Amino acid sequence: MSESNIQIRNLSKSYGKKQALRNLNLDIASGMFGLLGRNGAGKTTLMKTIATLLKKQEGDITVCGVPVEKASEIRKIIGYLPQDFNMYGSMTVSQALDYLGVLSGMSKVKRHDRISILLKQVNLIEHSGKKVRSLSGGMKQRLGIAQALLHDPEVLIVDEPTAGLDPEERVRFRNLLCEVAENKTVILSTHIVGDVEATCEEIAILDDGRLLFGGTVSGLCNMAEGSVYTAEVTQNELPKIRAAYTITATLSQGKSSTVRFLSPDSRPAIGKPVTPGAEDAYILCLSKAGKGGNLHDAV
Amino acid sequence: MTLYRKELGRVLKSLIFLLAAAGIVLFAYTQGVFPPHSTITKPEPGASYGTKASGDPALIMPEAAESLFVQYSVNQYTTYPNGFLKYVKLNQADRAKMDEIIAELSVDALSEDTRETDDTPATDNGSLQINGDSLQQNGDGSFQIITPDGETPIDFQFNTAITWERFSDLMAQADDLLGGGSDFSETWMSHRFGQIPVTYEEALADYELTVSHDKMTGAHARLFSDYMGIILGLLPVFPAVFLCLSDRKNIASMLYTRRISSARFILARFLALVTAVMLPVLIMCAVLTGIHVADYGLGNIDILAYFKYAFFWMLPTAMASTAVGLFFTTLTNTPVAIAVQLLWWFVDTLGGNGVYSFLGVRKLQVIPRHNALGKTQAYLDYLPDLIQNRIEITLITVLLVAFTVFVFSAKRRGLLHVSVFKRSKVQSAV
Repeated sequence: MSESNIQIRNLSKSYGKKQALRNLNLDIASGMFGLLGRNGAGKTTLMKTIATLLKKQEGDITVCGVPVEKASEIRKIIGYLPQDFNMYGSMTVSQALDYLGVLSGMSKVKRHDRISILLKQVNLIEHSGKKVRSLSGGMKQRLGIAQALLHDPEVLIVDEPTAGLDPEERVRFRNLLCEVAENKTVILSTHIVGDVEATCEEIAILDDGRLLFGGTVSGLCNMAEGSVYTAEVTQNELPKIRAAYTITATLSQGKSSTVRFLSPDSRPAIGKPVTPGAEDAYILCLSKAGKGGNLHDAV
Repeated sequence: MTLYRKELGRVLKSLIFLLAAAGIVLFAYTQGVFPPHSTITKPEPGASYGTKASGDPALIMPEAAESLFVQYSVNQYTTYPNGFLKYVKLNQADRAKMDEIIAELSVDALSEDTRETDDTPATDNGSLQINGDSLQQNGDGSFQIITPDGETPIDFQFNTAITWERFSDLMAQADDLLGGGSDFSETWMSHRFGQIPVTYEEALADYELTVSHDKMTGAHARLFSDYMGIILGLLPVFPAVFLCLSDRKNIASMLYTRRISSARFILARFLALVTAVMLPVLIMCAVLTGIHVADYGLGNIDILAYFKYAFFWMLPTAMASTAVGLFFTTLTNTPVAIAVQLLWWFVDTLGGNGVYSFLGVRKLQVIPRHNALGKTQAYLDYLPDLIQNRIEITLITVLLVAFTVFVFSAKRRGLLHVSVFKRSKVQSAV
């Protein structure tokens, strides 16, 4: 393994009676790493624990060889972009970065250099004098990634960064993350499978604090091989299909619909097998965990 | 230092600071200390120079006894428990005990008429109406109850045979019956009664001490500090609270995950807040010094007097109220610190356990008082207490800042969740 990685061993964490993480084991290497799971699966707890914002109760975490208990050491090597990033609205983009640079112990010269580089990288150089409160959602998230990268950390922790962004901003933000991940470890937490599929090689799926899957995106898809089908059905047949199978996509075409559904245990009476996508595989994974529920909410 | 400058810049640009600064200056203006309304002049013979406490039992005892009798007659006593005005009416059992005290203080035993007086308050002309009777003061200082039906007037004549020790004991009993905080408590009796006029010689001596010791500006600075203490004991909490509250809305985690130590962060913020609230004070000090140079001449004043008092007298007060704001807001993420400071301020300015003095300092009093231009000897008399008080308040401040560092450190590690007005949102982190 490369030096810039994270090892998690037997990690458990609870809030009162609510078990947020259950005996979690995970290795995160350099590059983009996707953390998938429903809302409430334990992703944010895991991210916050790695970022020293929460204290672990059981198990061990090391970041680049440094135990997470050494919070001041960890803070030097991590960059953190929280869910719903915000900064003092009265500050300009440059002032906000400069302020956070001071908190990171950076010299004036280094702050100046890094802020210039990062503003160019995140395409905010023309907005450097703009107040934070007047930034759009996408611009604010780009400022968020710039502040997380400010002190050139080895590990970048990004929690649900694309929520609330329009499609164009989402794609731009994903590309930006891939760019910065070239020589860093980037942990991307999300419940949007498309974000992970487009950016991450290695992923983990969490559900109810447990690790459901850890491996590559292609590995996840391989697991779903032979379990995903597509069929063209009439509107009258649709309720029966819904009742019998987990549907991952529906495309209405007038009186008929093309449905994509999961049938992991047996070949269905209708439809033909198709190559699984990451979304199919992710839903199958959750479905197998016995937590099917309204799976459409998870996608 | 860089963080201190940045925090100071944030505070100075904030609306809440500008309002607080305007409040500080406006308060100084309305109280007549900025610019100063009066100058120190040599006393002229034959003028009035005010009064002072004599401490003479022969003067205190009849005045105090008569004051107690007047209030006893209407069964309405004025007290200031914990600094707040309170009218006390005694129940039958306590009135019986007070009867015995009054009886012992009086030359003659009380008549039934006096004992059964009603709770009727005083009338506007200064006489008291009791069941239709009038309470009037005689020429010799004794009191008399006149009944409208022509019955024998009831006199209160102080029993001069009573000793000071016994008198003090009776007054203490009366104060206990009233629940404390009355004029008859040991603390306040000698201040409230037995006042005598200040003589020309004494006024002249005080003036000469003001000239030699205070060099004029010292006396002005003390009066300025007196008023500034009142406002600095309250207003600094507001910028502190609002600055800390601005860390909400997901900003806190941005700060928590930075490399900076909790101590450096909190200390920079605290110093920036204190600097900001002291800034208008220091500017006024500079302007006032300039005014006094024009009034008294450069050679006759202590040019640094205002600044000495700013650091020695006013700064600990500003630091304490800032620290309260910093600590309680960091702990709770709510503006509860304003209520805490407001309570401390009320108790402090209204006197704590007794009637408030406008000259001097009590233990742990955050706002010392010297509501006089001059009275240098009185200042020198309580100076040791003042020094001790300022050290104590500074130590309390240091403790509060240390606690804030501890709380901030615990919060950034997810070890502390305090929720005052709503349930903790810990679950939402999952």
